[in-house]
Amino acid sequence: MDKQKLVYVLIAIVVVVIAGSLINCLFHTNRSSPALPAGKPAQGPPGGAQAKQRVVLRIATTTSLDATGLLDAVKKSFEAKYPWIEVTWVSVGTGQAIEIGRRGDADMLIVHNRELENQFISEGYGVHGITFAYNDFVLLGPPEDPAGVKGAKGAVEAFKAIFQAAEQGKAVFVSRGDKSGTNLRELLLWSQAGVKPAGKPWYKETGQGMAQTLMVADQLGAYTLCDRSTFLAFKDKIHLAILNEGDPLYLNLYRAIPVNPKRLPNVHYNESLLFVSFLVSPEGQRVIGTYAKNGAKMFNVCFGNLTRLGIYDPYEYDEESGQVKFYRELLARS
Amino acid sequence: MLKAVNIVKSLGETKILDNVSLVAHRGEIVVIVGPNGAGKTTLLKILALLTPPDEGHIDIDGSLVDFSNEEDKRRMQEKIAYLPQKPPVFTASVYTNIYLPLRLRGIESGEARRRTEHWLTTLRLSEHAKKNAHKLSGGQKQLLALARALALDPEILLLDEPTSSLAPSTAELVQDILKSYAREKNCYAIVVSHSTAEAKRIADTLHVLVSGRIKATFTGKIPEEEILKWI
Amino acid sequence: MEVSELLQITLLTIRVSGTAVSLSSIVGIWLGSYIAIREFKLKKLVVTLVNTFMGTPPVLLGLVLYLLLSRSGPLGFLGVLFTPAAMILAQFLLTLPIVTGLSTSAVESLPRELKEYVDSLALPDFYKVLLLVNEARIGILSGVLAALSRAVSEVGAVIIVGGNIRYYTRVLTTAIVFYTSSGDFDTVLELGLVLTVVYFAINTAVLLLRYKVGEGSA
Repeated sequence: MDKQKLVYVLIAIVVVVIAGSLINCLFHTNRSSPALPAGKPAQGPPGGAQAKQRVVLRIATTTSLDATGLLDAVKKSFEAKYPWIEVTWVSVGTGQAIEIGRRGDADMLIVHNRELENQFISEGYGVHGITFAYNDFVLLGPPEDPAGVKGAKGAVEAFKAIFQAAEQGKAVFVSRGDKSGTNLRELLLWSQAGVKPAGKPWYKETGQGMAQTLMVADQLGAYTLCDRSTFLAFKDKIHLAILNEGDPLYLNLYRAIPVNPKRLPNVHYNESLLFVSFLVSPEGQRVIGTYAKNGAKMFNVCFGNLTRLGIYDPYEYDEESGQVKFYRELLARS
Repeated sequence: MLKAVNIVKSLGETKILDNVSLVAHRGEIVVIVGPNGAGKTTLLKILALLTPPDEGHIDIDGSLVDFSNEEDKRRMQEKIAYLPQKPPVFTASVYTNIYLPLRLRGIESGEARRRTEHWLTTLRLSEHAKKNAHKLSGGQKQLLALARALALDPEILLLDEPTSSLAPSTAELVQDILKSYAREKNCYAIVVSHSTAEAKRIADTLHVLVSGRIKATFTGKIPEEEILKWI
Repeated sequence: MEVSELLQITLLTIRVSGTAVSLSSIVGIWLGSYIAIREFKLKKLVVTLVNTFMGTPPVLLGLVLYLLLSRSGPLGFLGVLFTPAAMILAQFLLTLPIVTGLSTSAVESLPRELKEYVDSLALPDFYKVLLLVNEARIGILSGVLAALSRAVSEVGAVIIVGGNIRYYTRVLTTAIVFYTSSGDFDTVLELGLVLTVVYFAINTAVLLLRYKVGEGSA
């Protein structure tokens, strides 16, 4: 009973177990660098030469979009059509998603903040961005509506009204305060209304997600800006009601933007294009347009339809160089 | 010859050893007696190269010990077996307690097994071989520590009160074993003893250490009454 | 949540934290013990550093690792960002100081006579450490347990370097974050229950191990 040998054997076993686990783990990451052999066999047609190298497409998107479950639905249809591509996504705040894109840690973005997206594209990090769906924000508040928001003729007036009422101590506003898409839109509306709520005692910043922020607003009987889908999901659990809606400023436009391969060469550009074209294809638009959660339809499709919503964006609509034209041609070719 | 020359050691303000010198010859047992706090344990620790003296030096078979040179010190320590007062045991069986240090010292397994079994038998520990060492009585632990020390086949044996927890008959057995061991192996043996009777039985040379100084040295016949004067 | 997904998340949690802590134990126990037995010039500084890093905020570690492992970062070529490998690395770095520091103090608090005796045996350092680690195993095992608990319950590091990708890099703690932010509190409670069970299981398992291993120690 050689204790020394026993110790060595034990250490050897542990090391082997760890090494095996690590190797197993590294293979499961499905790194699609050409040097590494494909982890799982392709499920394409058994016609031989189709053993396409498995690619993991990585999307950077927002937590609110992820929470709707849309991507899970799209993933199913997309992977059925392109079985060698595995669609994964990292869901974080809008700002972080864009930063991830800038660093080339994701192959494409799906976000909903026009200003930041335009910056991303103009700085050369994103190419061929296209708006494919939209929903809208609604202004929620206590049914008694102490600020008289119901009568307001549009978002800017509504926010002005809330500010005045709040300064008089008649109303409270709850903000997400987390630089998310919703939060950024809310800040935009405040600035368009020409007022600064930051630091005011009636302006509560939760720093949290939409659901939690709703709960807080409900508890406080406060006004808050919310995306329609989340509101519909929680409608029956809270007392707040929609007091203002419909203004184009409330529109939440979703855009998919592949990361520029000339800038960040390691991204899976072809797969990104395939995915984005799927989103704007008739089949994809159908999947998105009919997607419902808890019985409520969450998105409206708008590929090629932005003008009808009152938005004139040459980047998409230009006859010669617009992205709508680009994707129409791409779809026609495939 | 093993020589300790003009050893001085202080702990803070107090001088524990004040100019202590002694000499040991192979095959002979040197015993050190003295009252508590005389510095006996410290002297033994210095001889075991565990702690350097503040002044003075140790000389082993003609080589001066350089306490600052780790490699040299280690090589010298391989010849030494040191038995502290309340000997610690490893958390393992009695058998492993003896066997393991031998193997770690590089002795091959067959030889290690032979030595372990020899000392287990000689010191009457065979029946406890598989027991967890912590479950032994104080006296048994001391026997175990002794077996461990002797199994190493040291050239220098440094024992600090090796029979303090033993019954008189067992103590005598140990004393006899020590005497024959020192002679057969022709090694150095320095024993700190708590008992003058024991000193009388085993000592070839006896030093009386009081308050950090050697007050008397006896060789050959040990007059008990003389010793008792100092303690 | 479907049982199969819950199982997948739980197994991933155990795999990530288990691997990370196994690795940091292998390195940390030896490192900590060596620091305990050797005297060297910068020893006090090293010990202080180790103790300071024990309290590294996981989210800070996660951020630093993210910047290193990002494609635009120096280690981007490894391509491990947003994979379990990065999560294991993060938790390895997080728990290494814990195991190291607690091993050092476990060995240093062994009785002086024992350490002196082992010194007197004039063994090479490796064997010295072996003997002392065996004697200090209760303290060391407590250190490993503390590290494992920390790994399983942390969220900051793994969420940043792992990305909380469903079926891929989502563990119990990050799943709780996701479902909380989407308002699915029922699922959050399920996950919380499982996390508590895992936590208790770890504690019980190592407690039993401590009993068996510590059996017959002084």
